[in-house]
Amino acid sequence: MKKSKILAAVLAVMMLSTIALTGCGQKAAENTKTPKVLNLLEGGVKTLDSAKATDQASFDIIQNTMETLTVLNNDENVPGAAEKWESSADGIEWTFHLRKLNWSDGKPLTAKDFEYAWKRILNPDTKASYAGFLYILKNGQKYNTGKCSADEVGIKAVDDQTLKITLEKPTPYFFQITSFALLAPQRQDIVEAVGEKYGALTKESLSKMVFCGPFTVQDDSINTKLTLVKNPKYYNADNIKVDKVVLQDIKEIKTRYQMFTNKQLDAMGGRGEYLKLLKQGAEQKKWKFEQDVSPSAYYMQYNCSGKYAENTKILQSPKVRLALTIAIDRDGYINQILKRGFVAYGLIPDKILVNDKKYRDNVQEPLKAVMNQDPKQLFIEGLKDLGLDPNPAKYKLHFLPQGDSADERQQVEFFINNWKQKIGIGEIVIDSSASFDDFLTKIDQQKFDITLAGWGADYSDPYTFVELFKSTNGNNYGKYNNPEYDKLVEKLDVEVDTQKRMELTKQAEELLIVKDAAIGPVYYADRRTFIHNHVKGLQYPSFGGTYQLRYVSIEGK
Amino acid sequence: MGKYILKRASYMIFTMFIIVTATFFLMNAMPGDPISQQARKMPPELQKMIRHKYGLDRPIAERWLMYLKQLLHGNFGDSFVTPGFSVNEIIKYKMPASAWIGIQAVILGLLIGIILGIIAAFRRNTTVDYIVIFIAILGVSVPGFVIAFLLQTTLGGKGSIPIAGWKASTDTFAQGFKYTILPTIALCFGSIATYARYMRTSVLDVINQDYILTAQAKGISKGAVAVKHVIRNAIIPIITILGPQIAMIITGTLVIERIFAIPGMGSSMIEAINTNDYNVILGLTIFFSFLYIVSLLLVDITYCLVDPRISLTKKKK
Repeated sequence: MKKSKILAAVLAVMMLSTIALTGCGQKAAENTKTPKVLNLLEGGVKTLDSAKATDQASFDIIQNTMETLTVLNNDENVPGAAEKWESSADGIEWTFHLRKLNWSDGKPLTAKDFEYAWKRILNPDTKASYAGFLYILKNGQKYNTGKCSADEVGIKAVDDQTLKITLEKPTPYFFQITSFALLAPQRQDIVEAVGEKYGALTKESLSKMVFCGPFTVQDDSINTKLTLVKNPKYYNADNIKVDKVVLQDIKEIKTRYQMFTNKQLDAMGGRGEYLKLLKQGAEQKKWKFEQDVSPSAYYMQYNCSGKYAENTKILQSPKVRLALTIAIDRDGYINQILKRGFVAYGLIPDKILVNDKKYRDNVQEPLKAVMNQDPKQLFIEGLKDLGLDPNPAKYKLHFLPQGDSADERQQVEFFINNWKQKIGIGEIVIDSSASFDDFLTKIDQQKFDITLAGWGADYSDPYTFVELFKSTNGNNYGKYNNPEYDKLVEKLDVEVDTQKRMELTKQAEELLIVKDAAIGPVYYADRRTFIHNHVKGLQYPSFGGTYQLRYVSIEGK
Repeated sequence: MGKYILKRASYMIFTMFIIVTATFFLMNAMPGDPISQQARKMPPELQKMIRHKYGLDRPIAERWLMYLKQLLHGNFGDSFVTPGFSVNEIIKYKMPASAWIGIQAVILGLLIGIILGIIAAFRRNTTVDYIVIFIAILGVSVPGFVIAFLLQTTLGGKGSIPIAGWKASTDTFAQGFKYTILPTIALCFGSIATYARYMRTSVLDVINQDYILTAQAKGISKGAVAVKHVIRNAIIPIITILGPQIAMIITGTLVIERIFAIPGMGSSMIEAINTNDYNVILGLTIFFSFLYIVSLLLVDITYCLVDPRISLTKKKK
């Protein structure tokens, strides 16, 4: 009896000590004054080296700690490190005039820092995955592939405050990408002193990093929990209204929700069962709900090569492809199955600009005009054109999903039902892909009949979508090949005039989606976020990083 | 004994070689490579250039030999996906979090589990026994993540217990401790049940042995019988399961790490597999299997120490 009492006492002491130790932590936190701290989510950050970053989380931290030539404010390029700029009439030569800026160690930021950073991306020894982005610079590709020296690349610091850029050819979207975190300035002395470890999220590397943006990264950050602190040396520090931003990688949505409702997180996205709960909270004014188009398009990709399975050849008829496109019940898919996104009748999403004009405001989605056609009739006509048996029930097609989750299967089944009911296709088999890599390998080798593919815009210009289906493009998985389309893409590549670009894009989109029906648009992606009421002005840029923290403030928390 | 350990070590090297080779070839048989997921955004000549720079365009046999050579120098290579990080550094940075939670969970689980098991055995067929058995069934059948979410909703955010997250790298042990409370409890809950059940059965088995009767007949006090004779004999099965358990728990349990956002080994491994980060996959696999094999060896050695009747080397008669 005595023994068991002792044991009980030991257990009780253990539990109590747990509680007591917890108490200690609380006192420590209360001692400091209350700085304005923002708590946000961020995926695991891989590196702070802008030349080597490839993921959104890394670009996000860089964008908020470094000052690019221009920065985004509500998706609009406004002066950043550059105060003003001018370009030659043909759009090939650009001159940026930098303002007086300092790095966080007090040294002045000069045009040389941009020249060094951009050339470092193109330096083949850097092994930068995003080097292709700077092929727009004169001799950019040549330098990257070892065919010319760094001196011949079209970027030059004329003096400390003037940066001169020469492009390979007129590039209408060049100005927009000057806000991309990839193109942040870098300090040669620091990069070379730290060497291979530059930008790594270790204490040693972080303590040597210098920043020139509104925030600096605290030395004790790790890749799943970063603390950004307001940079007192930032030229516009007076207008940065939060003192600290803590960014954490929380993968589990249940945990996110718990933290959000306990105000340990200031914003989160919503999906699945939590979407309903979060929306209810927003209706009760507990927090705000924002929904917006994100510049990604999802579309049916048809295998136009004619080679894969038993009936792939029927997909060589544009009428057959258009029939499949028309038969999809987009409203049903968005509202009942996917429960997010926006119905798409074209390739170019709402946000995309042609110079300063929204493309979609000026051009109607091409598919809308033909949606009244009977898909079955169209399908049969297509078969006749090919000289085949016109009975749709005799054909079998294969659908390749991206993964094999239950959700994905349900989505695919929905499309298959549409096609069976509205066209009467005999059979549609669901193939399988083991992983995203397996999926990429299969579509790269045309081992599919139909698949749902997607593309996120790299910059705000229709060209980022239109060029995908040029016959020589590596992402043209369906092997669509029309010289007329290729010609349109080549013209678009160099056309600078807004009106002419609109017209060329319109022609390309119509040819691709209606006349040739090489792809069948399904939906545009969206962004849904729930933000606590005390957070004001938190922006989610459409390109580059996750957040724009230059304009955020905390009021009345 | 020394000879035995030497023999086991040589087996170990052979096992590790098989593991490295199998992992290397299986991994390369998977579709894609470290840059294939970014390749969509790269011009073809750039893809070719980068693959060449990393040596990914060389024949697989050559790469395998290169890797083995590098391993002999104790170098696991660099991560393809996280620039500036070697695999050794990933282990160095991620291991402490997993180990911290793991060690706490093992100690807590072991203590509570063994104590509960002993109590249950000595109070066989009483209410105490039934309660322990009930807890054991609960612990085994309720998955860890359910316990984790339950803890988050009931205790998380109360007082200063965080719902999830981890300390900053400069925080002291005491400052970081609060982050470990919930994950430790969630992680050890299942093992408490396992240890308690094993211990109860084993103690019951020992109690009925003749030597216990002898000891009692000699007039040794009840407490002394329990400590000297019962527990020492009954603890062997616990040691058997303990070795692999420690290796498993210290190297991180993915689910708990994910739920509590702990920067540990489990999540690193999954991320490496998802991104085809070859060197990290190989390095972590080697590290995990090494820990596992060593823990098995340690278990065998501990047997000897606990029970002198067990001999690792056959004595010549």
